[in-house]
Order: sequence, then C-alpha cells, then structure tokens
Amino acid sequence: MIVMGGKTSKVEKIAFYTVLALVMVLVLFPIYWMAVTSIKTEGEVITEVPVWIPTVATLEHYKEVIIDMEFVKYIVNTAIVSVIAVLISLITGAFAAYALARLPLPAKLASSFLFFVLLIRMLPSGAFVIPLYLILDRLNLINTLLGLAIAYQVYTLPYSIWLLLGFFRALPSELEEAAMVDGASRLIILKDVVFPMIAPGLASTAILNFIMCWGEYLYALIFLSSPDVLTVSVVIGGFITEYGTLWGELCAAALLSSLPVLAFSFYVQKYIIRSYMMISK
Amino acid sequence: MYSTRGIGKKLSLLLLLVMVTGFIAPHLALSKGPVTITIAMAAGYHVDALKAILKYWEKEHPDIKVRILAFGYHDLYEKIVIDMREGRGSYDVIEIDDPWMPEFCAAGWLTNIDELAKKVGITINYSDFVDTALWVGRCPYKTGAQYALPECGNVELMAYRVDLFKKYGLPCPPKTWSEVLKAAEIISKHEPGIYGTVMRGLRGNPIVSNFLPVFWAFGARIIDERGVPRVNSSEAVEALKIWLALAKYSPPGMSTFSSDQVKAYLYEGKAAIATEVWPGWIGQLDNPEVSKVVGKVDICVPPGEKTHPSPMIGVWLFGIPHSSKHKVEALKFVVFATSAEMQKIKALATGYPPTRKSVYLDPEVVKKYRWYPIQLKALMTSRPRPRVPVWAEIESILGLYLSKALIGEMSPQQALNAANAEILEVLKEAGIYKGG
Amino acid sequence: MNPKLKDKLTSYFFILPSLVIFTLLTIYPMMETVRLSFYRYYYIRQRVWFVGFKNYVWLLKNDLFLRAIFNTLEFDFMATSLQFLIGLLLALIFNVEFKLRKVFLPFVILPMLLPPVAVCSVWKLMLDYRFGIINDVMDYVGLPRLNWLGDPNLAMLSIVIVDTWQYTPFVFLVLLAGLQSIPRELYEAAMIDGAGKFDRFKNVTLPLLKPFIMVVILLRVIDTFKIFTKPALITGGGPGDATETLTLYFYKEAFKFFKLGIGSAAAVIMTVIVGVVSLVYLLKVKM
Repeated sequence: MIVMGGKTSKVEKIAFYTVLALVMVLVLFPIYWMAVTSIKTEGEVITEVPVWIPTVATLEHYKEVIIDMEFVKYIVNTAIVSVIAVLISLITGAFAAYALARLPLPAKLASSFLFFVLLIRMLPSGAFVIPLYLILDRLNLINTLLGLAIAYQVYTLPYSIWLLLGFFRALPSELEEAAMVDGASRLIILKDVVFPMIAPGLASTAILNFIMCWGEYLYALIFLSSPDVLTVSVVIGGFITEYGTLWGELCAAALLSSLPVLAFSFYVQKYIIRSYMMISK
Repeated sequence: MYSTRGIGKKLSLLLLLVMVTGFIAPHLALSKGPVTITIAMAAGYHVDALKAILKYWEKEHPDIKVRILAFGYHDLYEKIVIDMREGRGSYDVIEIDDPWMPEFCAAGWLTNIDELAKKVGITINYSDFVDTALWVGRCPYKTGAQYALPECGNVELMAYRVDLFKKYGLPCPPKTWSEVLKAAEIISKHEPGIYGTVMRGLRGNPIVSNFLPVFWAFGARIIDERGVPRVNSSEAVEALKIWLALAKYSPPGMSTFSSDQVKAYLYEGKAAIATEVWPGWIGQLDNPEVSKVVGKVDICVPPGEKTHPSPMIGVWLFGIPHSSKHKVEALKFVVFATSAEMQKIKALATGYPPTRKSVYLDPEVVKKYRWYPIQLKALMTSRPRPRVPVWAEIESILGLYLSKALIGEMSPQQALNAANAEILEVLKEAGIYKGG
Repeated sequence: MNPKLKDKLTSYFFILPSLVIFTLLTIYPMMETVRLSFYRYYYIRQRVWFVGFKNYVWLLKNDLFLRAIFNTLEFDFMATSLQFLIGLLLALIFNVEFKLRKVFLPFVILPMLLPPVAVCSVWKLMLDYRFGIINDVMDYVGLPRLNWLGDPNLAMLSIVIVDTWQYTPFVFLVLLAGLQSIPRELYEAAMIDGAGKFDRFKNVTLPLLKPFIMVVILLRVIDTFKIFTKPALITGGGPGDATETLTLYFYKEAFKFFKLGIGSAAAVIMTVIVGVVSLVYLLKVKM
C-alpha cells in the first residue's frame, strides 16, 4: 500500500480527493435515487423539475409492494432457492476441491476434471438451458424451487470448486499430515482440522454464490412460472416490462430485493476481497 | 470406510429432505375442503375487475373456491401453453388473448363449451354478445363451435382533444388518417407545449398494434386467402408513410413508448391525438384527480382512408383447458363471469370493457362512460388479426421492421420488403402458405 | 486396507458428486444441444424433424441474428475496456493509504452486490427521456437532453454505462487484491534508483499486476458476452435491433416461440464465438 507522504504536493492531494469524491457520488447516487424514489409521493416522482430530496416521505409504495404484491413471499422463495443451491454446491464442491488439492487422484483425471470446471465457468450459461429444461421437465422439477436450485449448479458448482481449490492450496498441509500420523481417518481430519481452518474460504464461497443466485434472472425466468414460486428477480422483471412507469413501487420493490444482500455485505467485505485474491492465483 | 458411509448417509438424508419439501409444498394447497378452481389470467386491470365480482360468486357458490394466478402477458402465454401441452391440469380457467385462439384450436387443447354446457344442462345466452367478439372464440373462426367466451371487449379506439379540434375548426371526429395528420400538423404548430400525436413505438406488440388500424384503413392485408404475405403491397407502404408522418408529431423518445407514456401525455393534456387507445386506458379521463383534461377529450372510432375504418379487436376470452380436473365448476364460473349482470358490475367498478350489447347500452353505465355507444360501434365493426397459429412470430418480425423504419434505419419500402420475406418463410414452414 | 488405496478410493468418492452433477447438468446438455441443433423442433406443436445444417444456414442468413452477434461483441468490447480502465483507476486510488479509506471501501463495491433487476429498475428511471435525472442534469449544465434509450446510436451505450456501473467494482476488487500483493520494498528500491511515479507504475506495478489483469479481463470478456438482463429489461432489444444481443435472441427463439432446434443452433454458435474470443485473447496475451 502506498502512503501519501509529505512529498505529495497540495495540488495532487486536491486532485486525489476530487476524483475520490466524484467516484463516491457516481457509485452511490443510483442507490440513493432508488431509496428516495421509493418514498416519494407520486407527484414528486413524475415531475419536470427534479426533486432531489423529497419534501414528505410516504410508505405508500412499500404498502403496495408488501401487501398487494405479497413481496415477502417472493423474498422467501428467493432465499430458499439460494440457500439450497449454495448448500449443494458448497458440500459437493468442498469435497471435490479437497480431493483435487490433496488426494492422489490420477493426474490425467485431475487435470481434465479441472479443465472441465474452467470450461463450464467460461461457456455461456444460456447455451445449456434447452436440454436442462427438457430434463427438469421430465423429472417434474420445472416450476419448483428445488429444480431451480439444481439448475443453478451450472453456475455455482464450478465457481465453488475453483475458489475452494485456491483456499485448500494456500493451506499448509503439515497439520493434516500430523493428524494422519496419529491415525485419524480422512473424514475426521476434514471435520476437525481442515474445515475449521478453511471456514473463511467456505464463507466467502457461500456468499459469492448466494449473491449470484439471489440476483439471477435468466434461469429463473425460464424455469419458474406460477406466482407461488417466483423469485424477486422474475417479479421485478415482470413489473418493469408490464407497468413501466410505476416508479415508486418499482424502486420500493428493487430496494427490498437488494436489502438482504446489502445488509450482509457489511459483515463480509473482507471475505469477498480475500476470495478475489484467490481467483487470480 | 464406515465413516465415508456416514457422510453419505447424512448427505442423502439432507437431499431427501430437500426433495421431499420440494415435492410436497406445491401440492399442499390442493389437499382437501371444497373444490378450488384455478384461474390463470393477465395481471393488472383484468384481475382488479375480476376481484370486484368475487364476493357475488362466493355468495352464489360457497362450495367452489376461486384461486386467481396473475401473470405478465408473455408469461401467461408460456405458462398456459406448457401446462396444456403437458396435460398437467394446473389451471381450470385460462384467460386467452384472441390472437392465441387459432393455435389453441389447432392443438385441440380447449374444451368445447357448447358440448359441455349441453351435457350439464347449462344454457348460455349467446345473442346478447357482440358478434365479432364471439367469432374469435370459435374454432374455426366465425363458423365453428364455441371454445371460449369473450369476457373483455377490448377494441382499439382513438382519443382526441375536442376543444382544440373545435378551436381550429377541424372535423370532429376526423374521418380519414389524412385528416388526422393535418390536425396534428395544425395543432402542434399553434399550440406550444402540445404534441400533435402520441403513439406507441416500442418494438414488438405495441408498435404493431399502433400501426395496424392505419394499415387496414389503406386496404392493406397481412396475409391473403392463400396464405401469401402481403405486407409490402403499395397500400401498405403508403400506410406506413402516413404513419411515420404522424409519428413525427409524437414526443421525443416515441420509439420506447408503450401504454404508460401514451396515457401520461394524454392525461396531462400534452398531446392532441392519441391515435390508439384501449378502453382500459381511458376510464379515468373525466376524473379530475388524475386527469387534467376532464371533458376535453373525445373518443372515436379510428378513421378510415381508402376503405372503411378498421379498429383492431383485442378481445380476451375465458377458456377451459381439456386437462382441467374441474370442468363443470369452471364452466359455471365462466358463464357467471361473462353474464350481463357481472359485466355491468365490472364495468362500473373498474371500467372493464364489456362484451355484451346490453351492458354497453345500459343507461347507468353510459352515464359513467359517455363513449360507450361509440365503443360498441367500434367493437361491432372491428377486425381481428390474422387467424394463423404463428401470429406471435409474424408480430415479432413486423414489430422489428416497423421499429427500424421508425428510427430511420430503413425506408418504408425496405422495411416492409424485409418483413414480408421473413413472414413468407414462417408461413411456408408452418404449412399455411399455399400460393405460388 | 492399504492406506494409499484407501486414499485413492476416498478421492473418487469426493469428486463423484460433482462429476455426476456436471455430467447431468452440463456435459449431457452440451451434447444434447449440439444434437438438437440439427433438428427443427417445434416444442409447442410437438413437431420434430432432421434438417442437417439448415438451422445454422438459416441463422447465418438472418439479419437479426447477425446483428445480435455484432452487438454482443461491440458491447463486450466497450464494457470490458471501460470497466477495466475505471477499475484500474479506482484500484490505484484505493491502494493509497488515506483517511476514511476503510469507511469508503465497502461502499464502492455495493453495486456488484445488487440484483441486476434492481439495477435495471433505477437506471431505467434515471435514463428516462422526460423524468430521468440524467437529462435533468444535462439541462442544468447546459447540454441538450439526450434520448438515451430511444436513440439507436445511444441505446447500446446506455446499456454499457449501466453494466459498467454495476461491475466495475468487481474489476476494482481483483486489481486491488493484485496491487496489495506487490511488496512495498520494490517501490522503495525503485525510488532509491530515482524512478519517477510513472516509471514506477510502468516498471514495477504493471508487470506484477499482469496476471491479475489477465484474469479479470478474461472474466469480464466471458461474462459480458452473456449479457441478457439489462437489454431485456431496459430496452427490450430495441429500438430497432440496436440492443439485440445473442442471449436475448436465443431466449426469444427458444422460450418465446419454442423453436428449440434453431435455439440450440444459436447456442452452439454462441459457444463457439465465446470460445474463439477467449482463445484469441489468451494467445495474444501470452505473446
């Protein structure tokens, strides 16, 4: 990290803080705008002269969204899908990544497996969706939350293996070897030694996948249909295309759908940054 | 190795748990109690109107519960199609936009309402329905048996500022599209801050719906009797030219406009003519709380040009899928919801357009909506979109090229030629094309 | 049991679930997509027949599809470059120790956490011709109001702006992680050698940051290629075909008209293009 020392000139300092301030405004303004629009009265949203700060705050749009649109139901649906998807990929991914990092898999199998993981991460996810649709259709899993969570493995599983592999490789293997000498089995080692040490890695993988599932739109749009199972993305997407200019309600729904991820971003900042350090390794 | 098995057991237990909840949850709602019929319909004012009559239904049929599932337009189509194709029977009543009918008929997905009604001894009073609305619910069109009952008498209308028209001595209502163009020109020239027209230009269904009345008024056709596409005929090109001229008087950003923008400009008094409005948009025009043009806007049948006026019909119908497990209850509901009595309640409560003549002429209703006799006239002279199962594709092609002509990327002739060539391909592949 | 053999067996057990999921959800669907691409498959009418390469020929003659390829590549290039440049600038800013750095940092990455549909909602409002705050600001500073979403020359740029707002933080975080991995001693050594700020950036920062830059650009090239949500919700592919992208086209053919054969062929072409683009990129960078 570079420290701004005494050598930095005043002009440079001013330039630096100006750019910084500009960046912060550009980044935060749309979020601010979403928030204020959601509490503005209809008249202040649609006006020729912009209203930067609403004169009165109304919860009318939230009432509309929560009570009339039953938005909470969709938030719960989205949470169920995301949690199931994250759990499946975390469990299967952690075992696979551990095997790749530590266990004597035949070199060819290991490298081709890894190649596949990277390949799947790279290919356009939309490309697989037709047969996936036909498979889930045959299994009666179309239009169910479980079916969508399974489909999400196309996104989340390669990502999990990839991220976790980095974490496993960064972990010194001495402790495991010591435990091996003591005669503990692999699973005991995993449970008592490896997983506790890799916990931050598991957490950041889970979080990144959760964010991905929470905001996913294309698969949800294709796989879900009845209102009982829709996720927030599909509901808001429908809202935008059908009732384009009910901005107040739209922004209220958008903000509500953002809160779960936003709330938890403050706690997990450092985990996310750490996993991006892993990505590039 | 025993420990590996332990983990496997836990894992499979977890998976089992997840799957069981996944499978059971959707079925819980259908378990016991009185019969529940499920209605799949378009979200928005359709649902609002239906909700207005639910309490009467509950009083009359306490044993038949109604569950409404509301979808966006495209979602609704996709959901009901897949459900009927797979014979799942998730829906007992479906709300059908009239262009979908040929496809549903061809696939044989719907229940013959005449037959079912006869079998269970329910009589339906057909004579009160507007003919054009009934026809689109028949398989085949106009001549066949009734497979769906019209419940929303949507028809394309035109709205214009009668105060401004009178001020400049313009004919009220305009009889031809050329007169409309002239009026737009004059008003936008003399009235600062008021646009001559406001039109829907969004690619897809909106731009096509906006264009078709002009297209038809010039005597152009989309497909002829032998399944040959005719959208690049000289009449069609002429129609597109005048439509583009009208669009020049529309507010900037028209290529992204859908119903919301048209309504906004109309209600704020910032547009003199909305060349295309639907009954659902104009119900509040005389409500001073939301409208700045109370009493200043007149509704008329869209004009003709080379031929008589041709408003587009956009009726919605209730049909009963073959796969429904509660057909009789569904029929009872459909008959109830389309009865004159209930249509009147829907119209009064939400301005939902009726499909029965008696409701249009009901004094109480006309008092609230002064343009209803005109709306009835429009509906009676209305024209349906081509009765082919591939209309969605044709509309998508036409919508794209109209949009390209609108933004000036193609000349009218080029755009319509390109559209015609692509539509021809679709018709050939669907086996509709029989020309040479 | 022999512990080596046991480890080997365990390792198979460990990768088996992932292998099953991959086979079922991606490898099989991939092969099936290729197979379906040789059929006309009307899902709704249940009509299927073999057509050989006709779907491919049809697509490569279809103006809208070709335009979608062009648009997607254009978007990919513009968005990736813009996000990289701004992301690098941001990373350099946040690599400086300043007051409140720790307070600001979490806020900068907020956009990438938001659901894309939420981002579309607010940007569609901000870009609106009449009520959009962006045109209000343009008025305020004396610039003409622009038809951001309705002008075919601006619509794609608008989508690029929205995507850049959301995903620059991702580029920023990866590059920041890279910058922080550069040992401070290297800068100090360069300073003793009398290197100026720009020299230090060129000779120390860039070479050491290169692996991070490579990865982040590759990831953005791949991910921007899939763009769907933003054009679908903000412009619907219009006006005209100005913002039609490959995934949008694919979605329409496959799940609006349910022409699964043509949809599959489009998917195969899409996959080939993204493969070629990433390959070219990887080869170029290696040189």
